[in-house]
Amino acid sequence: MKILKLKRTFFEGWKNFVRNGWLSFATSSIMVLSLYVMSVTVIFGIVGNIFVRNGEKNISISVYFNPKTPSEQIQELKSQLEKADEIFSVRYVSENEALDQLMQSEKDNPIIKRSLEAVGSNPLPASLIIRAKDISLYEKIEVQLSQSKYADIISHINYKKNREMIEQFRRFIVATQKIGLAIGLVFMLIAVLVTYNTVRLTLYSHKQEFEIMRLVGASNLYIKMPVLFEGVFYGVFASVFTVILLFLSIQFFAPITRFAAMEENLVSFFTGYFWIIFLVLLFSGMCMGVLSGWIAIKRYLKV
Amino acid sequence: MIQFENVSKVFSGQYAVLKNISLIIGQGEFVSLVGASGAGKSTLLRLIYAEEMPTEGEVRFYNRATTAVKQKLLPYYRRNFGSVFQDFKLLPNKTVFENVAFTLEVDGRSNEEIMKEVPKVLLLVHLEEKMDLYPSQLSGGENQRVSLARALIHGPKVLIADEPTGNLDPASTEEILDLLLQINALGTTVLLATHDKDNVNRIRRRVISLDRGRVIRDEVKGKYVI
Repeated sequence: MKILKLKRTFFEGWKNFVRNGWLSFATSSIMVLSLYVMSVTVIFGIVGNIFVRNGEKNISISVYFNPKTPSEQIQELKSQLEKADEIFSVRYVSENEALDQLMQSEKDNPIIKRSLEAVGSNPLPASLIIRAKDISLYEKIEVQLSQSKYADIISHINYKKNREMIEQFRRFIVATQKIGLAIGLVFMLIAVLVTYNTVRLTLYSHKQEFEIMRLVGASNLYIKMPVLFEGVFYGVFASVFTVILLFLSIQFFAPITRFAAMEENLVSFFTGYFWIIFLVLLFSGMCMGVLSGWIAIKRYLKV
Repeated sequence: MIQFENVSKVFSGQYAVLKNISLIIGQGEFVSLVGASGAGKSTLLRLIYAEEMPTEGEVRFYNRATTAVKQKLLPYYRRNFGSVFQDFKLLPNKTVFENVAFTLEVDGRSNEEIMKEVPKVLLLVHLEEKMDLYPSQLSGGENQRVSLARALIHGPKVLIADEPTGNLDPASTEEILDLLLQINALGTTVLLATHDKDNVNRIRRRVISLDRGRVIRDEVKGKYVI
């Protein structure tokens, strides 16, 4: 009997959903709006984070040594550095390796080749490439190195990539994430309230039905179930539409983010986590629908 | 069967709709409740199916006070009653058949049973040919017969009719009253709240007259005298 009633209330909810086509469409659209705002906020946050982390991986500090510094001494410094907490990795690049790298990267440049031939010997110094665990630690490492007993053998310390630019971009991402999250939260709140109100208005059109259901002896649960199922349908439709909308907007916006090398991140994030995104949307949509229905129907139900 | 013991009903703390009502209604009776608008007829009926609770006194159904019915069990309690109203209260987007079947669906009856029972009761109210139409496609009298069929389908012990003929023409009114008598003859207790003097006088059954919340007359073969 319970399964029979469940089946009946399910179909009752479905019939309500289909019969009030426009109202259902409007309610679902409002829900699409709120789910879309939520997912854009979250996706932007996550992809931004991935981007920052990737960027950080590419930053390193290069310590160049004076010519003729014995490699044992450099190795000694290397092993000491490796023990330090703040350091992620240290790589030794010998003079020859540095030359090979230069020749490799500038093989099409005849001037470099000629000038190297003119010098006769290898002018490049040996170096250590240090990667810190966090971008903020480089400054400390640099200071410590220049004050250590190895300061004599160090000719200069250099950031391999443009630290200033990365640092600035990082600040930009963090700031936009914060603003985005704040705006996103406000939008979400508005969206949830609007959804709730729309569902409440939709239920208002069922008001007489509730009365009649009570009249013929329907239990409160039996009256509620179709409404809750209706909420589930709103959620399902809204999440499907939101995913389609997200897909389209990522297709459209991803090329714009190319300058920040985020294009691939966005698309691959979306396709890679498609099912998770969809399931989260589905779940949030259904929760919103069911909860709104649950709260709203209380107004119309008295025993 | 139904017993009112010193029942008063006061709405929002000041206005007494019913004052000190004591009544006994036996099984199988046909009772007409008459009185001017605001006399308390509808409230009296609502107290029976526990849509309202008495402010004072007790309403008992089979010796059990309505106030003793647990909230959760109220829907089941209400299945003892069938009700019809002046405004029919039909679901506009369900067909005649679906409207009547709805009571049984709510009760958790099987589809086979629904397919068997609904045509039977529609035959009783002479609507077997219109079961696929919607309420908007029917006349007032026909709609009231649908609502009567819905009230009867689950075999209630008491049929409560609150001004069922208020919106109907004389011919339909007569038809509905004849149906109520017929239903009563089959053993269902019928409580009829009405304004319709001619018909109350015609059927010669028990009449309870209400005036400003009090019972002023209770006659076994009564007339509408106010």
